[in-house]
Amino acid sequence: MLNFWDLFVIQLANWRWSWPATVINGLLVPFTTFFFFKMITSGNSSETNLYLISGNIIVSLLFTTMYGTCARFAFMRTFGVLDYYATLPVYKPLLVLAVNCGFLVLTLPTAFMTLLLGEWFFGLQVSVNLTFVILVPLASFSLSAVGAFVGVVAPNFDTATTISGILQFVFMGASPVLIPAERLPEIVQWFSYLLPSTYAADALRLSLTAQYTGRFFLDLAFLIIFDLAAMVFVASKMEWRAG
Amino acid sequence: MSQSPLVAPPATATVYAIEHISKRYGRGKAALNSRPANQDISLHIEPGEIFGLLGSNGAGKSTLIRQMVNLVSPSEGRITLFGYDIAHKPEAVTRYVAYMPQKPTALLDLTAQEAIYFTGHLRGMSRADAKKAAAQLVEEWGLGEVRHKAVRHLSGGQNRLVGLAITLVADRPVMILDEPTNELDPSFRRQVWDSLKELNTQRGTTIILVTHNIQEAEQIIGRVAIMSQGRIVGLGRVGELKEKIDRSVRLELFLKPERAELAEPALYSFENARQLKPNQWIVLVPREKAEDDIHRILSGVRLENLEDFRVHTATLEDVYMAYTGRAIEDEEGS
Repeated sequence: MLNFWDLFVIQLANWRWSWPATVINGLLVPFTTFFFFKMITSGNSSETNLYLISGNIIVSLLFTTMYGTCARFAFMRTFGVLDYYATLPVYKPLLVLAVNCGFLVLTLPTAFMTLLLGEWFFGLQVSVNLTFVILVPLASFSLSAVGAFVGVVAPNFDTATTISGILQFVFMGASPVLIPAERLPEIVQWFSYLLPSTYAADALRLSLTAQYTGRFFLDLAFLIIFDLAAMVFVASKMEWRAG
Repeated sequence: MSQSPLVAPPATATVYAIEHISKRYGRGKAALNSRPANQDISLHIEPGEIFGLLGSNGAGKSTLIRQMVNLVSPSEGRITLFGYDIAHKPEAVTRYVAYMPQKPTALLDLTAQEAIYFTGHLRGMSRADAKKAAAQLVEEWGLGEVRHKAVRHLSGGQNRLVGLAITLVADRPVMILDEPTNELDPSFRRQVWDSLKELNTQRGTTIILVTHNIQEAEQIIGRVAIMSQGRIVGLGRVGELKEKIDRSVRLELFLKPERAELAEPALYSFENARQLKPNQWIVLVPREKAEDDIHRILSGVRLENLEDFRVHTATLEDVYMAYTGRAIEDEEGS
């Protein structure tokens, strides 16, 4: 655990001077989305507004956490940063966790601000409770795990960030993040079951309306198992020590 | 530096035993067809040595160093560290070795003092000891004024000093330094060599150096391996290698540019005279006849045509040239 805290603080240091820009950028997407929808639509149902709010939380996580961890791991591989950690008595999964937690700290304000903005724009009263506080990290880790995997296996930095950029839009469009699943083509609906964003968005919606159904717990279980498995998998794929 | 060692390595006669190491990058046919990065390298490094690794760019030094710290696995062969096969016990490297890469990019957003502190703590020092060591190293290496500045905002030389301090913190029994004096001014370079010598003398730290700064490194290196095209072409104590290649005395002559034409005809007449650069010559004379030959050469060239001259025995650079056929400064320019 000593290792983890040091690794975590080192990751936070990466944001020491750039965090305001990252937080603001993370807020721009939901803000502009809310503004756009508010301008062109009127009398949205509360369900639609709920999709917009919860979906934009996921979108902001996609644009900060997933892309950020991908770029971070790709940078670490490409520019010899992993060499530093590899020659220290550092446990690889802890490094992966520390990087993911670093991004989580950065995106937490964005998630809460998105919720507040959504409530303000659409006048929707949502229930912010402990499950929401637990779900945001789980959702963040699930998306950052995808980003980390891409960053660790892509042949170079540019390829990693390109793939991550494409995946952001795949996740956004091919899973019921901003719109209900029924509005997606059937084949896309089946595909969406493979994406962690599907479960994250669904769990967030259910949490915000305090609907703790079987489906909610299924989403929660998926996210927990996915996060743990992904962290171990990414650590195993991260080549930093020979042998 | 007053840090106590954290770990005691097992009692063993050898620090590193490198046996028939080869490395080919790529996979399958591509690997077989590629030029090997290193070939059939064998050497032992003993406790308390200061061991130098010399070679041009592309000679295979970095590959060998990276194999020794287990960042790259060899295609063939075996490396043991204090008796542990590092392919099967990679934790031996993290316990016993401190590695200073050429470009320390890992901690750019930390301040200089934080970078040293966190490395010490990650290596197992207590928080208090790591903080104390960081404060001490910052002062020792003249980083006091920039201790709270981010590493990315430091100059190249300051960056290098932070990298060195990071390597020194927590007192590992083995240190591997890749070009430790790059971008440092002469006073800091002297301080680096003196500190490494002190560490070695007082604590018995085994130090493995990769350097192009042959002239300065020669003063502290005990044994050296010379690499060329992935192979070790010369290995031994510095004095032994010098005696093997040449027991000559080296007379270096620096001609005045405006009088070079007057001096050069005399130099052409000496059998072992060689022009290194415009207006710079060396003449190798047998040790037994050095006094008479040097007098004869200087009389022929005439002192008023010289800007400077030096007399010394064969240098490590001469050894390098003898084994590789090229000057190391020529390699740097290519």
